[in-house]
Amino acid sequence: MSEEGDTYDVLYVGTRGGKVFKGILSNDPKPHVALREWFPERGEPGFGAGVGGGFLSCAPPVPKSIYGTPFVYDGRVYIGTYDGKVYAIDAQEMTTEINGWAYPEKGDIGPIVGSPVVEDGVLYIGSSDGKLYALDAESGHEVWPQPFQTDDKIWATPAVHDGVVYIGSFDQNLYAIDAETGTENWRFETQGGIGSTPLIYNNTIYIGAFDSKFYAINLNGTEKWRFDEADSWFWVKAVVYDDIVIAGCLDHWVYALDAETGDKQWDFETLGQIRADPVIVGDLVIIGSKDDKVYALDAGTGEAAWPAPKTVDGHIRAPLFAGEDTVYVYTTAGTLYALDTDNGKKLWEQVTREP
Amino acid sequence: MTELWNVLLLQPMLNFLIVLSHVLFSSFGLAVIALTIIVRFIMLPFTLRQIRSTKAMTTLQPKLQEIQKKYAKDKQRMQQEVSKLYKEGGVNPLGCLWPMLIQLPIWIALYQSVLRALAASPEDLLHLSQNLYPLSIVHQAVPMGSGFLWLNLAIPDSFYIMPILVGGTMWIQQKMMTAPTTDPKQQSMSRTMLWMMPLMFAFFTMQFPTGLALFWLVSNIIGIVMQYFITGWGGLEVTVQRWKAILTRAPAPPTPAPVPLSPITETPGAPVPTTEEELAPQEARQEKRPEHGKSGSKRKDRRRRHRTRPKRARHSS
Repeated sequence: MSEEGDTYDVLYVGTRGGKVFKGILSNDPKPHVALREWFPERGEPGFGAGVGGGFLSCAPPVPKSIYGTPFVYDGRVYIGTYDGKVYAIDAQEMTTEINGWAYPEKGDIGPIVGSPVVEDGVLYIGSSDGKLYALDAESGHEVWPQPFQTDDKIWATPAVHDGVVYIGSFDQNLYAIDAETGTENWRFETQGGIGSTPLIYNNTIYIGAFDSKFYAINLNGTEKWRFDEADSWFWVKAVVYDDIVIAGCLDHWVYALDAETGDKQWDFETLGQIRADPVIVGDLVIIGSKDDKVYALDAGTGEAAWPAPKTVDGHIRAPLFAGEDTVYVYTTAGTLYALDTDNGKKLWEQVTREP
Repeated sequence: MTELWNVLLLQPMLNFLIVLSHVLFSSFGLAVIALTIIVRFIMLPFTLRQIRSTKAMTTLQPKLQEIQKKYAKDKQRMQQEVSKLYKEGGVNPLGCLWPMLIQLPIWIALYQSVLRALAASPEDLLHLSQNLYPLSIVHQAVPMGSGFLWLNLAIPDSFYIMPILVGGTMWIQQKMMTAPTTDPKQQSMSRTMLWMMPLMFAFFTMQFPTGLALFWLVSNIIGIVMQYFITGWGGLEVTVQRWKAILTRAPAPPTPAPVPLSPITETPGAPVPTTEEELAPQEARQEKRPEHGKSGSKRKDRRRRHRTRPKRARHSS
């Protein structure tokens, strides 16, 4: 989910059905959301070739599912689709016809699972073909002489900091790439695939991997510390609050670690896998779990802040989005919830029926 | 029930597949081949039993048909005669069924393991994470690379080579298992099965990830080898002979006539033939004989001379 607006808030949601919903949040006369949707043209020549649905193939074409979060930048919404296309959509009109583009124009670059990130007019996005692409956000043209190649799929979202792009790959490496040239500065090897986005805080990169370890890495690529008490994969982006790095894990636990030393400050068990990126709202860390509940914890102590976790309809896999005193949650049942961060009460819900 | 299935069958097989992949140079393709061979080897006693039971049932078919024909109006007597025939032949009609039933869950689990391990989408990978043992070797191996030879095991083969291979090997296996029969109904059914199964699996191969097609292909090849060592070329004998004839430029053997119905007045209690020689269709055996005899050779020579003469005549004129 992404937000942009002048006099009102706008939420953009990508769905597994391949649609982007634009939700205009209004409080007049009462809180409600007006939806507009966009979906890519279907059935273009060569659609999904090589992934299914090519010439003579009886296989169903690969869906244009959107797993990543739309990125809003300079009047456009950017998304990557599972059938291997990157789209720039006009944020106002919700179309690629005006002010938009699609990359590549023909064919595809393999399933895209991660989200795009735009920094200084350049869009960075990884794909299952193992490449990280840098595209001009205005035109959609390639910026680097060639995409940066890793040895396995890229399902993670890149992070850009100080002229360096950081991206994890299923080849078990975290790469630091020069944002201007697309050349490798260094790589840090873990013992598992990397599917999460790096968090950069105080000149340190924080990232978890499928080897069930959480790493703190210096900006020169050396290891600062690692946390290895988890029992399953880390597949979400960590958040930071007052020098405490908070990461959810597929072992159902939330771990809060000292940013400098990696010592555990507190932990909290939910009843499901944590696959959605948490958010910090004020002094709270809000977490969505596969047990279909939203938890609000005191970020400093890990104590539950709401009387009870809020139960929603469907699993929570999409990153949570924080507004002012509001947290937005999108579920696999295709329902968008707005929850009051003070007590977890539902302010409103909007059913899109798109998982 | 699902939990029990996962714990007892799916998870052990899935995790073993992942460990195999790690050991075999991080190649998921090699892991699929190895696991299929291992599972096939473990299931060998059941497979042998199934093949032998099927073979014995096939041998009794002519007599069975004769009984059905003879006692068509007396169902009770027919039942009695059929039971008697089975008893005398030492055959249990369900004998070929239960080894198959035992194998079925194993095949389903293997199929699911291959599909799950590939984890093409985020949902699949999330699901895979729930079925992994807490072993570092397992967690280090996933997500697994899907490249193997020219193939991407996570998607259907875009060159359509695998559908042809899977369909072709399945046709060979089906053909080997098909016994000649005079019953038009059975003939029609055999013909349908001979083409339907391979075409169906070739179609599936175009739909499913190639990792699964690799499992079907290896399984078919192993099946063909096993079938060959137990029953020989079976229904494929004539085709093989024809190909041999084409390759050696020798005359092709004539198509064998279907097995005639055996009279049911044969000595009751006669042992069910079990050796390959005994089980070979009578006509096929009859055909083989002249090839070894002198007269047969003479006839062949005469045929060859007849064929070559006109050619020479044309050249000379």
